[in-house]
Amino acid sequence: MPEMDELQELVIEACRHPPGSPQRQRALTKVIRLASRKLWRENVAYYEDALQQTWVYFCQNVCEATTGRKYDPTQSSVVTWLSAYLKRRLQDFYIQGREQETRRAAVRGMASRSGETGELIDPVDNLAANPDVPPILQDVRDWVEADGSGDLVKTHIKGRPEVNCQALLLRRLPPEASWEEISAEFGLPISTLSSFYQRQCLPRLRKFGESEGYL
Amino acid sequence: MTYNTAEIDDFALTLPLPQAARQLAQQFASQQPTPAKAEQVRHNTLAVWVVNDYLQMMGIDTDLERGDSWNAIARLTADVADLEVIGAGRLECRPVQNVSAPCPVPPEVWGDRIGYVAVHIDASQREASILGFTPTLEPGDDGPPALHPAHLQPPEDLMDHLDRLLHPLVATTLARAGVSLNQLGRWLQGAIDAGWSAVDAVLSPEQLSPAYAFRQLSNAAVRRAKLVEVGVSLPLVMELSLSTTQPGQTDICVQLYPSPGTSSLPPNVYLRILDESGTVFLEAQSTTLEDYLQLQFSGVSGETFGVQVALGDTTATEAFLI
Repeated sequence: MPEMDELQELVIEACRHPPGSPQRQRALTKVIRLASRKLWRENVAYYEDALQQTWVYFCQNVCEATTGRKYDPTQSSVVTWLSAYLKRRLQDFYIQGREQETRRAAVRGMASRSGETGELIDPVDNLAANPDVPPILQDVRDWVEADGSGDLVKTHIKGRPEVNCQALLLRRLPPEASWEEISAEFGLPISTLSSFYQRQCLPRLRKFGESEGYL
Repeated sequence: MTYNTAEIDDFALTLPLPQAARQLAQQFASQQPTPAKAEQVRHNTLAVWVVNDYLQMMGIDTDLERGDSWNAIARLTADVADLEVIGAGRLECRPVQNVSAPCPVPPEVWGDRIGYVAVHIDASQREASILGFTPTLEPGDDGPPALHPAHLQPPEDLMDHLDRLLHPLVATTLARAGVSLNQLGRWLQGAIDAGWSAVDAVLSPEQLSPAYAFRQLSNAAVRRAKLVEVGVSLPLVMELSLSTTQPGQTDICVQLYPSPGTSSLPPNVYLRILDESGTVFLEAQSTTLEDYLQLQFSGVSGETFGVQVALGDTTATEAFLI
């Protein structure tokens, strides 16, 4: 198969250059692009996780044995080697999933025995519930409006005191006004406004965020 | 502008989006007050994620946490999808909806970026394609900067681009030729690279005349000299002085003196400053009876430059990292 040959050649090309060199990175990128169309496919929820691990394994072991055994082109084609690894990862995820199911079933069984409801606790349900209105937005708005130190109002585009950080931040808080609207309102080019926003207003906002622990 | 969709399929790099990526994108999106903003944040997060995955696979160090896209407040108030590439700068990873039309780029990310990567996120959100990259933005159809599919370079070109930023040419070409990089940041902390001596140990007392004192950088923090061979019987003296009068900026003065004991430089000696790509950006040439040459410039931390002394066919070069 001609494409197999092309992949083998690309692997040889990649390994001729030191790790981290752009020549190796180029060749590895081409292998990933070509091989991904030929790899084993399965329609399961954890397929992408297994595939992602396969690409990491590929990059780390195709030329040097970094985390596993080095690829041996005399033993198998690149696609066969990678598909085999991918199938092992898929199996790992399958077994992990089964084990979790078993544990949940055990918990459910115990719960039923003690007379409680046998509802499954899904780990995803345990993620913090999101309030309807994100408090962060209100916190930011309060801070911008209050401008305790007067710094946001004082920081403005030269000669245009009304085009200051407070005015721009309030307009860019969602639901935000578009840059076109803000440009029309102040009669200034978008690039002037956005560059001022990026250099002066966002850093102040980030600093506030850091002091509030929003990171 | 016409654009060949088949071509982008040829060079797009499709990578998987693991469950953790989708969960994180969902978490970031759920902090947004409007559905439109939530979708924007979800796509930005996935685009940054996949580019980060790609760079990590290629062995390029990144710092997700330092980006505005990973900052709760910054992403709330700006449409950002930035990724910090350690040692190079911030890469913008724009999610592209329609792969065959110019994609507008939000004004808040027009400046301060080392490049723009176009990413198409599959409707299933289980995979994403890195379509290509461009180091600079082009004007869009109606004016503002946009990502043009026709101007995108394949993802592997990004590797060369980052390599140039991470290993500037002057440093790499000289390193290949066995020239080591003098680290001026360390000079300022008192650690001088080998081969450089105190000025009065190299220059003769006649050269250190009152006239010499006049041409010095005021407030020079460090002054060091070195002998350089350029095919003449006697070595010339290269002197470097550094001063840091403004925060974040280093003023550099490079001087070339005749061999100790001789009064003038040979004619047609060139003193050159090379920029990061190896291109000459400052040059001085000796005429007859020149007693020194001098070039002065400023740089910021992380920049590299080369100092070259040339006479006829021979050159001697030193590389420096500020």
